[in-house]
Amino acid sequence: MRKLLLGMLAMTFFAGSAWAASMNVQVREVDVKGSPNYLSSSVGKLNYGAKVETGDEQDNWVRISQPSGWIPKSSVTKHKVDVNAEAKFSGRSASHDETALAGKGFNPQVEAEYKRQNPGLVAAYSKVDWLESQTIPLPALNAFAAAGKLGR
Amino acid sequence: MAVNAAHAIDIGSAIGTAITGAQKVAEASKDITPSEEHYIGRSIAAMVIDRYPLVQDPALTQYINKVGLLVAYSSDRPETYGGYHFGVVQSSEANAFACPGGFIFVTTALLKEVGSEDQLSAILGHEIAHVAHRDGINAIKKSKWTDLGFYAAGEAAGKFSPNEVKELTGAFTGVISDVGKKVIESGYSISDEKKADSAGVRYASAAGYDPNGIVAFLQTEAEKGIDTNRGPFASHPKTDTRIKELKAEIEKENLSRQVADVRTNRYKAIARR
Repeated sequence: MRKLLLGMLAMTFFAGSAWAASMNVQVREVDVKGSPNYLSSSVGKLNYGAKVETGDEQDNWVRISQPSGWIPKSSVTKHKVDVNAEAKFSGRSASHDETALAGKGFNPQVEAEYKRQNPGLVAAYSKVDWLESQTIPLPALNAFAAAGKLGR
Repeated sequence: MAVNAAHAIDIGSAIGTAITGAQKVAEASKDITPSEEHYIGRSIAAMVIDRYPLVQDPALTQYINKVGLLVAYSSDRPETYGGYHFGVVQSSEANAFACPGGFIFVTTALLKEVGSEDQLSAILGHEIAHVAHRDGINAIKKSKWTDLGFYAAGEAAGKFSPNEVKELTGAFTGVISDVGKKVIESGYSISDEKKADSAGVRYASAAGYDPNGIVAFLQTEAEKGIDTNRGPFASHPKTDTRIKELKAEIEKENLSRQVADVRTNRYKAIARR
């Protein structure tokens, strides 16, 4: 019985240390990889604000529990991210620490107003949109690296 | 990269207030979230494109994005809110621009000067380092928004009242002005450029490229009589110093990699056609 209790305690300890922290996704979307390498295949996708349990780290990567895999460390933050929250003014004396991942509120609504005030830039913004639409699928990137003999 | 030497002079004259200024800048940039960095970057990218027309050639854009993404994914900051995006803009001046959030541009003149994909990879690595180090965001002066409070982060489109939007857009305009001047006009400090040089060759090497390409590029430019302390390299360390330090970094960190003709050939076929 004592051994069983010790075993359970050990399991609890290791389970706790394996997933050491709760973090939140702070990028628009991130691919979860099967191994800590960008060119490895995706095992899932997480969106802005998703909560993850993180564990081991390797270089710029951190392991997560669900879906089981690896994501770049720069894609998560310990601060709270609530994408559905009403953007609320926290007061002039507020500390940004208390509002978790808080900024000044620069968002598409502010960009739209900035564009309205600077109509000469509207055409340039549409070119930025075009540039953002030029995405590279992972298989194409892998093929490009292989054809270029880029050993990693 | 910078367009003229003004920034280097500014840095020298600002030494007396450097500590106070640096603290203010650090405090200001800390308040910027990754999503805000993305929207600031979009606006700086629009300013670049407004000045230098974007080349909307899908094959060329796909090519430069493939090289750039391989290097970015090997960097200290492989993931930004909206991801990295690489573009080519028309200009008779060899130059490159790193906008916050990961929008990076090289000019058509620069692509003509560059001789291979490996050289391009180190140049893009240098620009990626400016994004990873948040050098553009660090240009924001705290005075631009000291009076503003903080808002819950997130895209939250359409959530602000008209008055809030007006107040925020005023602050946003100030921020765009600060960052735009740094990215497009004055350039980064010599210290920032040295750090970007060092990181750029590490990133390129980690992606499998031979970072000696950037050394070869600088040597070729010098042999052609092109002053690399003018134009895009104005605020960079002197060329001889750069070459010496880059060589030392590559040797010390064992960054050299095998060069493959196939990469140089595809660069010439796509980027210099």
